[in-house]
Amino acid sequence: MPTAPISPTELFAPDGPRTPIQKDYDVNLRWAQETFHKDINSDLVIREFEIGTRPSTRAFLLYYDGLVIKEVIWEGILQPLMLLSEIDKTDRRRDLLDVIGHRLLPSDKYERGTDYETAIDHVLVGETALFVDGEAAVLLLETKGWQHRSVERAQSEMVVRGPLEGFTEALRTNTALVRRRLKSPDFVIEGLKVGRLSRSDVALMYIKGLTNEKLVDEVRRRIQAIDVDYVPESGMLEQYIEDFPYTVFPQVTSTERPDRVSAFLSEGYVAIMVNDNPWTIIAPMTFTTFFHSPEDYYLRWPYANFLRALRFVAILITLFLPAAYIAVTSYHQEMLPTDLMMAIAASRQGVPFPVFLEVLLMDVAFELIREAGVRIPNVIGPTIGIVGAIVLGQAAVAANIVSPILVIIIAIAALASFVVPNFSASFALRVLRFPFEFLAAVLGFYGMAAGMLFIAMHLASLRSFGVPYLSPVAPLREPSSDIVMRGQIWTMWHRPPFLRQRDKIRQDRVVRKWSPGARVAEGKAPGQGGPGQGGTR
Amino acid sequence: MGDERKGFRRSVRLAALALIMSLVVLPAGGCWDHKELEDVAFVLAMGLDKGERAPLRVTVQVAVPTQIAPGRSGAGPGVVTETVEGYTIDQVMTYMSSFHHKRMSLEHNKIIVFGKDLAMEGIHHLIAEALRDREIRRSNYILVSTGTAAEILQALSSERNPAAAIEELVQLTVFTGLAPRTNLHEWLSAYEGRLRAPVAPVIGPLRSPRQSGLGQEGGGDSGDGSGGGDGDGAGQGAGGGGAGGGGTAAATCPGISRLQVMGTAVFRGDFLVDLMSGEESQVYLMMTGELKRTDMTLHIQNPSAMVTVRLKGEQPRRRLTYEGSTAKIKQTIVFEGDITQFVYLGKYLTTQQDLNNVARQVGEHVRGIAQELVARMQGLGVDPFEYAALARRRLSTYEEWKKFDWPAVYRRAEVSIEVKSFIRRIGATLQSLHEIFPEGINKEEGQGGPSDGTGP
Amino acid sequence: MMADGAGGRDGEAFPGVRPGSEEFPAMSPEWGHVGPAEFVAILTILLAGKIFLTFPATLTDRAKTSGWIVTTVGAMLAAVGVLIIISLMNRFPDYSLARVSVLLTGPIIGSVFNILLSLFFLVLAAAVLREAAETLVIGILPLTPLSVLIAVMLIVVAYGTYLGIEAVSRTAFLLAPWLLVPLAAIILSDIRYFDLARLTPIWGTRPAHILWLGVVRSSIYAEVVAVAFLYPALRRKKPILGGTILSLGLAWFIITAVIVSVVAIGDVGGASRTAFPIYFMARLIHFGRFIQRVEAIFVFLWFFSAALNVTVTFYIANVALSETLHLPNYRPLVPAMSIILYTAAFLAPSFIAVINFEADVLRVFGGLICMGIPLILLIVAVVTRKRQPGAMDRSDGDNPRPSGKGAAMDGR
Repeated sequence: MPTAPISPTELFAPDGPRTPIQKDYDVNLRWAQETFHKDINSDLVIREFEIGTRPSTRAFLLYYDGLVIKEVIWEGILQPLMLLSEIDKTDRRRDLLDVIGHRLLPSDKYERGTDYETAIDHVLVGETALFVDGEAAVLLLETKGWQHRSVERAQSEMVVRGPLEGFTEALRTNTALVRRRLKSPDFVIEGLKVGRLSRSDVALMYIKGLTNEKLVDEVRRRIQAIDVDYVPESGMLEQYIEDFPYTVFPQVTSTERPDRVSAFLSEGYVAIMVNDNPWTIIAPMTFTTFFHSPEDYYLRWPYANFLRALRFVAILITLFLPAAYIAVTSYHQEMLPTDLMMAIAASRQGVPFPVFLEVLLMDVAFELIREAGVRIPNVIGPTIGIVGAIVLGQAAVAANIVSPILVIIIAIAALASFVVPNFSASFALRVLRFPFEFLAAVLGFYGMAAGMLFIAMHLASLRSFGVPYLSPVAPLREPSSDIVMRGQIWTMWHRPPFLRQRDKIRQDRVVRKWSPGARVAEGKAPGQGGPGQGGTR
Repeated sequence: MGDERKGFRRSVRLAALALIMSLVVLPAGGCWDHKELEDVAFVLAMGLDKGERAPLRVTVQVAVPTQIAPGRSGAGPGVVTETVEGYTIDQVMTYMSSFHHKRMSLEHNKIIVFGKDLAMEGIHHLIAEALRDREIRRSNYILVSTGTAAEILQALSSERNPAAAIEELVQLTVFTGLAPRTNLHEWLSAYEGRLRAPVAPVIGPLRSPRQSGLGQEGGGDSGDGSGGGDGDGAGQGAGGGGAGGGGTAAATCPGISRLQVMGTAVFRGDFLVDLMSGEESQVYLMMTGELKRTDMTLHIQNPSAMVTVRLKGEQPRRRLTYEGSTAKIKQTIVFEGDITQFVYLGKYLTTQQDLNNVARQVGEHVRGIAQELVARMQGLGVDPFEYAALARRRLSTYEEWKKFDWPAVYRRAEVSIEVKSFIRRIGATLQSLHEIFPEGINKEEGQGGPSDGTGP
Repeated sequence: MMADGAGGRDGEAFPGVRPGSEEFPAMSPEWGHVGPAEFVAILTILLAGKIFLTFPATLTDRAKTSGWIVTTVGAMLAAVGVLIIISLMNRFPDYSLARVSVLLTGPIIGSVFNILLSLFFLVLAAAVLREAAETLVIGILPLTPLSVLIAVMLIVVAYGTYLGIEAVSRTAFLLAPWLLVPLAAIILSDIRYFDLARLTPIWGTRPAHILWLGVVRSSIYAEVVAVAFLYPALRRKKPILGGTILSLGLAWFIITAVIVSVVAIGDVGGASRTAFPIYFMARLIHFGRFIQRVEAIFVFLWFFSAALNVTVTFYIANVALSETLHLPNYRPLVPAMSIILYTAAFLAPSFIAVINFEADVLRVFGGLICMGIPLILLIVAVVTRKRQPGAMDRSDGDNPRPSGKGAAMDGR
């Protein structure tokens, strides 16, 4: 038994020393009381009882109150052991723990541990440890259950058409949400633990036989190499495993929606879930994810492409509109139509700030409103939004601090940034807007062009887990029907080539086999055979 | 060792921070080319005249944004007009910035008007020099004034945006067909390439409604070369400074309230030599194929009726052949017309022969004008019809073309003109009102009835 | 021994290592992967980028109305040059030209050739940089000091060079439509000013002179020797010939279209007189009330093409020099070479000097260097029958299996 005080993080080094369990009941009991600080820890429970063998055997349960389902302990552990056990202790053919585990305890899973560290591990996640007098092992029983949020709408990725479920904080619930959508035995969920203090459960999800093994190995390698004490959120995990931490562009996608996760998995991506938070990481990521939202696939082709075009324009607007305004009004006034220019000039009479400061002011004000809107309690949230955006803007115009055209420009740019479906991506755009404004203020369109080229080259050099960031456009291997605009879903018969899956073909070339045109494409006569053939259209 | 590096890194970071903060502040003050919108005075129209104390007199219309912006009811005029004399345009602009309280910019300039006197002395040096200035664009429209440019620019002072009004007049020439529409680029290409003589539309004050006539008497006589024009210097309706000599009109004319763009100014090289009338301009545009649309009104003999035809120009066909050393040019003018007014008491325009008849007579009229025009131009030795292109095509190297003396060949050339005219439609009514008064109206019978047969 | 990019055929995705780490063999610079589409994009930009500068005006001034004949004759000659280069490099598919020249002609003469080429590309980069910046000063930002404009472009160029040809070629491919479409828009918007009679007579000066100009001015396409430097970066060698000819064809088409438009719009006098013909075409655009005075938009067009042009040129200069000096990687040279480039850009005392230098000196000698050196090398290679050791004829090969040190990288 470990005697010296050990620092909490040292205790859980994954390859640290393992101390075998002793047979002596009192030794174990004392160990439990000291290790878990029973005297000062208020939610730890050590339940001593006697198992009803003849003669009775002392045993104790070790668990954390709040992490377990008490009913299971009463009915599934204590009741059978105390009341219903008829075990002849003198029967030497079988181990007592064996008998208990196999015959008496109706738990859906149980494990047998031989060292103290395993016991600690399992008790910490909400399982119950059963120490029996005279046995040099411990039974670890499934009693996990704690209060958590039920499955609700995804908070940040709203769609009109499509499932509304979002992940919650419980890992098993989340994995179940995905497993319901990918009913295949090849869908594998590996369990890893990260963080010495937090021992967070990390689920690595992929489809064996479809996803490239090297990708999975690489992801696993990176996760297992993390040696840190506390990983509460997948966002931190993301920062530990990404390739280029200093760039403004995210290299993994994070999502709250199970339908997105299952779609990505089916294309050959890898998903990583962390316990106690609803955001799942999808690796690798390419730039086209900036434009994609799950709704695009649920809507019909014309509507989906309309949305995609809108999104593309919105991205351009939110990045470049304020900067372009600065550039045009400060350097390239000839571009404006004369009447418009006169209107702007007239409205700017008396505004004390140069254009750049005006834009900066309004931009910062909008970002403040935006951030404040996230933190404000729901009751007064919308009110503040209206107050902030409209009244402030109006008052600023009336006080001649900013010109009215600028308010419109900034408002449109801010609105456009909400159109981007990806949360990290919208951050990237918000951050990038400011350097472009600055460049436009210094050198007009020249500065903007320099910035654009710089960003383009930077994007071209990024890789996410080895996949070039600008795939499938920039290394052009195969034509893809889903970059900015989307082709018809039956044309997407192969999976994204940059993922190098083992199984590249997603569906048959001809999917709509009921359609006469499709049958012609297949080489059959249009009117023969096939389901749905009924003579009437 | 770690401390030194930490110290070094920290100082590097501080330096970087200082740099970034200063960079952020920098654009607030503006960089080199930074111009705040409200610090710039935008010139909307420019006029060039012969100056008295210096070679060039420049008149500009400068916008006043608060008055000129749409929706603003300013008390003052929309533009301010300034006149300065100097040697070059740039010099004048810089000089103006010394008393006009904003920096002058020609970026939004749309119109350049040349005074007649200046045009007659040659404008190539002005245009070439203008092109060196990056603010002057080749898409600016060029106009030739019947008097001085200054009076044109000082006109229309009650308008919110006089320059825009002039610009719209110029744009309307596409609709009226009474003048060409030339910008700097076209003028310069014509001048440099020597494919044709440069032309420009003519602008002048509107005389009086009576004289904005029908062109029935044909194109007016136009003066040749030097001033002291006789009669209608610019033909019908755009008469102005030409009448009664050059100088007095500009000095004594009060603020003109209406301007008119009609007629064509023809240059030999870069000298103004001739002004075509409105009707001649119509025909001229037909001959070069630049006519989009115009209305022609004339009195035909057979039957005796007043006809207004709306013409759409088609591509003309031309051919040049050499007989010996004489060039023979055959030009075919083609146009299609719709009859919009037909003043005639009687049943007409019901058969194809009627239409052909009218078409033929209109064509004759056009041909007459065209022939006279060509003869006059040949006499002056200017070729605005781009016949030079036909000759250029037949040469084999550009060097030859540079040495080729086209005007000499042109003067001696025999030009034959043929007109093919078609009348397709006669408007919204099929027949005139002959049914009501088949024998016409007897005037002594009183006031009833339509007095001048508003026909179909 | 030259590793094939970041790890071999399947190694592009998930190599597990980033390029530049120790797992790469020490003696080779890491060439990225340049796919066929990106290769065509980068080469076309390299060849056709000069139309945004004064090139159309100088050509029209020398050749009058026959500029398009000159470019066409030049293209045909350049195609011959391409064949020479490709057949040379196909004997050494994994080497770059610098290594080949040392291999074939020995260290001294080979190094001289390399340094000549590196110098040519450096001077070319400086000239283009200067001209592009001057274009902007004269046209758009008259008061900004030249040093600022050049410095800004140089920062972007240096960054691109540092990132490597893979990133630059991908950027080129990504931006290609944003260059072609506005260019087509400029030309088509001015169609009403077109007068094809201005292109007559066909022969500007004497036919013989025009053809002679065509021969001399085939150096318009001299940058095509860049192919030889990019060979190790191109994974699949089979499409190289087709890709180069395609780029040449595209560049020819673009250059000729611009030359024809410029003369048709402005006539010989007008075209040879303007400083920047494309700029002046852009200034003419006037559609109704709104689409006028839009030439500031073409700043983007300019900047992208000029910066990419200079980046690739500068990259080749760096790479050639680094191979001559036996450096494992060209990247350490970039900061120093950037300063040299910056200084070189300012050597010409005026804009006129730059134009004249580029047209009369650079293009003439450049053509000799760029076409002559590969020719000499090819002759030497044929005569001595040297090939890349361990390589078969790779004109149809895909993934080479180099012997020696690099073999460990295989199958990654």
